[in-house]
Amino acid sequence: MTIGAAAGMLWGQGLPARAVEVIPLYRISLTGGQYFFASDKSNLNANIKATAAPAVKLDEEWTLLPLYNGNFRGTKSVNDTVGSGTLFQQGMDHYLSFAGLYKPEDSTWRFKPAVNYKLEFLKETRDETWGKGLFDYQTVGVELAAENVYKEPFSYRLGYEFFYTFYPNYQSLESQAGIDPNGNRLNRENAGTDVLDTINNALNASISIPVPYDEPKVALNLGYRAAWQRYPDQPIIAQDGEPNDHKPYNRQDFYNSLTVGVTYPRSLMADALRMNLGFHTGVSHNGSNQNTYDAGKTRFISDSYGYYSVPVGVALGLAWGDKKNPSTADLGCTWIRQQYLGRLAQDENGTYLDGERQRQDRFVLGLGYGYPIAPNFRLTAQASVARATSNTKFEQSYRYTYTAATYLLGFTYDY
Amino acid sequence: MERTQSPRGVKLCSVIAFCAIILSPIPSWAAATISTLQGEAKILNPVSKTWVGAVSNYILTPGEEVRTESRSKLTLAFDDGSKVEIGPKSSFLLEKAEQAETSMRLSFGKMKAWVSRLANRQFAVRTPTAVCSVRGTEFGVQVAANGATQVDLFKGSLGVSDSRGNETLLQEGQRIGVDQRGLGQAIGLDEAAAQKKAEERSALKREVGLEMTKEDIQAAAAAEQKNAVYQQGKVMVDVNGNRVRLEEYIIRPEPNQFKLVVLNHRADRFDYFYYKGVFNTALPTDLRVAFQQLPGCVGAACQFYLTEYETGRSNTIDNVLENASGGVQRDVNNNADATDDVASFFDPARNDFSGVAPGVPFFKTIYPTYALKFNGVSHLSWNYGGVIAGFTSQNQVADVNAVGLVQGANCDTLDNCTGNRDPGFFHDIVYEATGGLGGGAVWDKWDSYVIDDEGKVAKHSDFANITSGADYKERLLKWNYQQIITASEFNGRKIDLVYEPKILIESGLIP
Repeated sequence: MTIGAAAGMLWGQGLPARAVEVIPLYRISLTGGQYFFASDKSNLNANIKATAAPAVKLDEEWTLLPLYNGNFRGTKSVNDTVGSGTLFQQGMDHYLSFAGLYKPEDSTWRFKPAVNYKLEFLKETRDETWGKGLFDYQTVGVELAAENVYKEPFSYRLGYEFFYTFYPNYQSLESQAGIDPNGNRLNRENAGTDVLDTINNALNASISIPVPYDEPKVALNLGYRAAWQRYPDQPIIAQDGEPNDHKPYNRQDFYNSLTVGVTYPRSLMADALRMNLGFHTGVSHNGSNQNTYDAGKTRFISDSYGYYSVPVGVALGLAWGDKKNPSTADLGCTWIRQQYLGRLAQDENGTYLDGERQRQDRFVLGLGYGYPIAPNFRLTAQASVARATSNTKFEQSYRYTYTAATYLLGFTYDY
Repeated sequence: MERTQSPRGVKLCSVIAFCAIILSPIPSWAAATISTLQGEAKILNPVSKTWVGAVSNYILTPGEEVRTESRSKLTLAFDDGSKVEIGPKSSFLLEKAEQAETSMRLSFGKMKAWVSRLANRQFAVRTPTAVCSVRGTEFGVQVAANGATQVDLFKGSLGVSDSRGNETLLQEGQRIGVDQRGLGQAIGLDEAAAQKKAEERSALKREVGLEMTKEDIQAAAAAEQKNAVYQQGKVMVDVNGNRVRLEEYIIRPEPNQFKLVVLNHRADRFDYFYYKGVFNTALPTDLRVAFQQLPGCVGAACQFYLTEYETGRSNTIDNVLENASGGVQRDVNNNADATDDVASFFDPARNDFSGVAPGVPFFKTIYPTYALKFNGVSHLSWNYGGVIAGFTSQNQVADVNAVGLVQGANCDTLDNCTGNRDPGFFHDIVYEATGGLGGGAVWDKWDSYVIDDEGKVAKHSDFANITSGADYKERLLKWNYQQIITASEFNGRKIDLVYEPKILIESGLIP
C-alpha cells in the first residue's frame, strides 16, 4: 500500500463523495465425527457450518451487515435433546440477518437496528424428510441495540428483541381429532392448535468492566436478560385437566437471567504462550402460568414449566506460535442444575413423588485443538462428554440419566 | 524515533503538545478563505458571539471559530498556497494568520493540512494534546472527544510534543497518537491503515458473534419447548422406526362419565384409542379418587365403580369397539366361584400391584353384557339372561365366539399363528379365525410389541425373563405398548396404536 493509498483509507472516509467499501467476512467449518449415547454409537457423519457476512461500509458512520449462517449437523451435539431416534438425527438451519451499524462521528456509541429470519429443519426418524420434520421451525425477528464503548474494548450494551417462532408441522393432535364411531366428540372444546408457537419480547443488558480500571488485568462481564414469551394458542390447563382459553393471553412465561463472567488473559514465557482463563456463573428463572395434566395417571401438576437454573463453568484457552495464526487448545467444563418449581419427580414406575420437585443436573466437558496449516486455515479436533442425572427415574418416554459423547475432526477456514 | 525530555520540563494541566515549523517570511498576512464548502458549517464571531452560516469565499479572520456539521467539510485556502481541509463534525479556531506565524486550534474532529514549503514562517496546529509544524508538509490531525490526538504525516517532517515535555520527530508516512499519558509509539501509515482495517474487521466479527449468540439464545428457547414435549411423552419412535406422536387427555361428557382419549399420529396416518366409563355416581374434580377404585376394592364395595364402559380403537376408517354394560359390584373372593378369586390387583394409588389374602373381600365390577365388534361385525359377546341379583361371578356368562384362537398345527404361517414371534423379545401375536388350517372368512390379529422410547423391542432379559402375571405387568409399566390390529373386515388396512400399558392394565384391558 502506498502512502497515498493509506492516506486515502485513513482520511478519505466520512466524506460524502467516498465510495462504499465491502469488507467480506467468511468462515467455513467442515468436520466429521460420531455421537455416542449410552452403549450405542452413531455412524460417521459430517457437520458443515458456513458463515458469510459481506459488510458494506457506506461511510464512517454507517455500515450495513448482511449475514448468512448455515449449519448442517450430521452428528448430534451432546447438548441436543435425547430420545426419539437419538442416534439418527440430522439438522439443518439457515439464518439470515440484515443489520445496520451506526457509529456517530466522535461518539463512543454504536447503534444497531436489525431484522433476522431463521429456518430450521430436523430429521429425527426414518420417515421424516427435509421440510417435513415435526420440530422444524421458523423465527422472524427484529432487534434494536445500543452499545457504548466507554473504554476500548470495554463497553455496555442494551438491546431489545422481538421475535415470533412458529412450527409449521406441529399442530396439536387434539385439534385434528373429530368424532368417534358412535358420533361423540374426541376432543375438548378449548383445545389449542398451534400450541408451540410463541411471540417473544426480550430485553438484554450487558457490560464488560476492566479490573483494575486503568491497567486492566481481568475483564468482568455481567449480563441480564428478561424475556416475555407468549403462547397465544396454548390454553391454560385447569385442575380438572380441561384447557381454559384466555386468548390472546394464554400461556405466558417470564424468563430472567443474570450471568457473571471473568476472563483473565495472561502472557507466559516471553509471550510465547498466551493463556486465557475464564470463569462464569449465573442464575436464571423461568416463571410460567401453565400447568399440565397427566391423563394416564389422572394427575394435575401445577406450575410445570417454572424453574431455576444455575450454571457454573470454567474455561482455559491456550495459544502459541505465530500470533496471527497460532496453535490453540481449549478446555471447558460446565455444570448446570435445573430445579423445577412445580414439576414432580417420578420413581422408576412413574409414580409421582409428592413434595419432590424434578431436578436435572448436567455436566459437560469439552476439549478442542486447532493447528494452523495455512493463513486462515486450521485443522481442528473437538471432543465433548456430557453426563446427565436427575431425581426422576421414570424413563418410559425420555432419558433423564445418561452419558453422551461426541468427537469431531476437520478444518476451518476463517477470513 | 526517539523521545526526548524537554529541557524546561513543562507540565500543563490540560494536555497540550505542539509542533512548530519555521518557514520563510511571507510578504504580508496569510488570509484564510473558505474555498470549498460541502454540507453545512457555521462561524462564531468572537466579538458578537453569534453563529452565522459559513459560505464559500468567506475570509476567515483570526479569533473566528468554525464548526462543521455531520457529513460536511470545508477547505480553507491561505494566500501562500497552503490549504486546510476541515472534516465533518469538527471544531476549528483560527488563532493567528500573520506574516510570520499561522496557528490554529482543532478542539475535536479532523483536519488535513497541506503546507507550502516556505522558509522562516511558523505554521502550527494546536489540539488539546498536539500541534504539527511543517516545512512543506502534508499532514492530518484528528482529535477525539476525550482530547486524544492522532497525527498522520503524509509528506515532510513534523515535530510532536506532549504536555510532559516529551518531543519526537515524525517521519514521512508515519502516525503517532498523543493522549493524556503522553506520546505514543509512531507507526507507519501502511501499518496504521492495515491496523485500522483489522480493527474494523474485528469489530464486525464481534457483531457477527453477537448476532450468532442472540440466535443461540433463541434456539435454546426452541430447544426447551421441544424438551418439554419429549418429557411429556408426546413423541417417540415406533417399532418400524417411524415418528409417532401421542396425546392423551380426558373428556368429561357427563358428571358421572369420563373419556380417556389417546391419539397417535404418524406422517401418513392417524389412529386413536378411547376408553369411556360411566360411573355409578358423579365424579369428583380430582379423578384419582375414583380411578384408584377402578381395579376393585379390598374389604368393602367401592364408592366409585363403573356400571358401563366402552373402548374404541380406530384408524379413522376401521374400528374395533368394545362395550360392557349393566356392571355391578360383587365380592369375587367370597362368591360361589373360587376360580375368580383375586390374589393381587393393580393399585393405582401405589402405581403397583398389591396382594389380597385369601378370603379377604375383594369387590370388583362384573358385567352381564358385553360385545366386541370389528367394523360392526361381532367377534365376541356374552349376555347374562337371568335376574341380576343372582349374577355373582363373571364366569356365569359364556363367551359367544365368532372366532377362535389359531395355534400350533392350525397355523398356516407364523404371521397367522398365536404365540411369541421373536424368541427372546416381547413380540407376540394373537390370531383368531373362524376356521382351522388356513384361517376362515372371519378373523382378527393382534400383533403386540413392548418397546422403549426409541422403538426398540424389549428383550425378555429386560424383564428378568418374566413374561406373564403381576410381576410382568409391573415391569411393563416402564415401557410402551404397540398394538397392530388387522381383521377380515379391514380390507387390508390396520389400526396401529402406541400407548402406555398403564391405561390398559388399569382398565383391565391387559388381563
